[in-house]
Amino acid sequence: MNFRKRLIAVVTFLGGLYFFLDFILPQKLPEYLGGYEFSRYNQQISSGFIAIGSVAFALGLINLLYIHGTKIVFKRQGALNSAALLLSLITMIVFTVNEWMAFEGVNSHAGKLRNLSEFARQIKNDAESKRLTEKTPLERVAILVEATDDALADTEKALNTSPVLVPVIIRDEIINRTTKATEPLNILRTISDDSEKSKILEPLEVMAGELIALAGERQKLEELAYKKSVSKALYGFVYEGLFVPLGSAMFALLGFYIISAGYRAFRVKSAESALMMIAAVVVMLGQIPFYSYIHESLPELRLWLLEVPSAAAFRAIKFGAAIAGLYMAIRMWCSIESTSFSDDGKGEI
Amino acid sequence: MGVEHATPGMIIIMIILAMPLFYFIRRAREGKTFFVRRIAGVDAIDQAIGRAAEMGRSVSFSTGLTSVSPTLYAVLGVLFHVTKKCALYRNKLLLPQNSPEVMAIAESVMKDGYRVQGRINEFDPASVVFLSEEQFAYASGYMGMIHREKVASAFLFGYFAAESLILAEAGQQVGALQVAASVSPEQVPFFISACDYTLIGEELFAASAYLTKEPVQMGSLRAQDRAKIVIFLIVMLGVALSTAKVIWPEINWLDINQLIRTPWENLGGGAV
Repeated sequence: MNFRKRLIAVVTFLGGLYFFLDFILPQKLPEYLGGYEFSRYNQQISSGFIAIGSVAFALGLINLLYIHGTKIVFKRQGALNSAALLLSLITMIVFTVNEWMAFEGVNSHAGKLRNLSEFARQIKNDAESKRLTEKTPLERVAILVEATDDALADTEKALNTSPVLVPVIIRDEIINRTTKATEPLNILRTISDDSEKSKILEPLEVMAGELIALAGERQKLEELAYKKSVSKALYGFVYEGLFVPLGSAMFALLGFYIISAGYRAFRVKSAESALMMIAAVVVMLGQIPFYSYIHESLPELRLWLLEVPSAAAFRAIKFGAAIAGLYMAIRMWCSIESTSFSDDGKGEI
Repeated sequence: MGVEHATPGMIIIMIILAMPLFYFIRRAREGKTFFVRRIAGVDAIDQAIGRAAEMGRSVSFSTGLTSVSPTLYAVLGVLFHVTKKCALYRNKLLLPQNSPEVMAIAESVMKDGYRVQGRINEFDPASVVFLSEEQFAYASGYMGMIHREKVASAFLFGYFAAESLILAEAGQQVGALQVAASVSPEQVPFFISACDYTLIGEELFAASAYLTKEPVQMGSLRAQDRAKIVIFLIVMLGVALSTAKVIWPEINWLDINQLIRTPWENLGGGAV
């Protein structure tokens, strides 16, 4: 076993050991055993898997570009199809990224207002508890006032320049909340002396409440604009308008294929196929609404066929596959896998 | 029902099930030979590749929607065998892929198959094609490939869902000899209807052992059979006890279900 294989075996074993212990041990070990919680690192490990998965995704992309790119460059058979595929791929990436950025914008504007509300409340709490901060409460208020001015101006601008017709309820609410938030803001602007420090508490509380309410309205405004945006429409066109129906069309083919496959499967060629044919007919007839014209017991017979012989066979298959899967997993975990799919160190694997 | 943490009962069952694996692998490595019954579907693999060689047409091998899992490693054993045979007979082998992670592993295995036959220069990276991660986009890509290449033989090994019949019918339409193997019982009837040979459930895991007769796999296969006997006995015991409970309700019978499901905290002392 070369060094690379040995390293893979060690990492595989340790990785498997973590999840094995996580599964077999209690969620938290008893205190006399250290009270350790195995699952505490699960989130970080899952994030690691996602990161590795993202890298692997690039492999798929490279493969597509390599296979179809070479077809186009060397003008091989099917080059036109490859060009269509790559064009679709690029179009989809552009539209998806564009839509994603538009969606991110929806939360970011409202998020700014929420942050300001939180900041106002934090200044108030710190001032009340006389907590020492790097900047004095009045300096912090000055920063808050400046940032809030910008945010309110931005919200007003967004309202006036919105590309969609804003419903009156949302428009009135935004104007109302902006006005209400401006009042404490003007009070805060007038306080500049440290002796008046206690006067900032009430306006800060009012402002925090108004800003959070305004954030909700701003979110609605942005969502409205996002829903009617060109980015959303383009993405909707390529994904919901083309991709999803094409997938559904493929799925719909199943209906026809089941008929042709059923025709082949139910041809009576032997005693076994005759038995299968009879069972299939019973199940089908037991399913139809006018079974009573044929025989009253058909639904019960159908149910018995599905729940007794069929379910028993299904369970047997599942048991067998589960045990085989378990053994394969143990072999992989302990690296006692054979040379069944590699040339055992002679090659690159 | 899924469980997040094993109960002591489950751990005991796992140990009982795992022990035969190590024992029989050791026996197989010591030279003990085990009988494996004939599996027609596995015998048909070589026949299918030979057919493709005679017809001068391609062979396709699909791993379906298989992710990196024990099932994939069972499939890779068969892929390695198919690749070696294809390299030997100079067949074109197509490997349409659904998952990029699986693609990287499968490509390595395929390359190794060519290397073992001393024909690494004949390995064409373009034969490993990533189609799509989306189920039906993959199915349509596979159909297109099968129709364009008019494959002589198609192998469908791994995990499949609703697309199974679409894939199998595509091969049927071009008259390919098809061998399928799936661990999902729901797809088995579709494969039986549309394919020439179908491996059911664990036969997929046995295929590689059957083809290679390799000690680790043979030992594992024998251990699987023993483990199934243990499961069978537990099921029979459960049936007997349940029946006895109905007939003689006044007796306090052993409850296997409760015994297996009793969590750590009920054993006392464990902070859970």
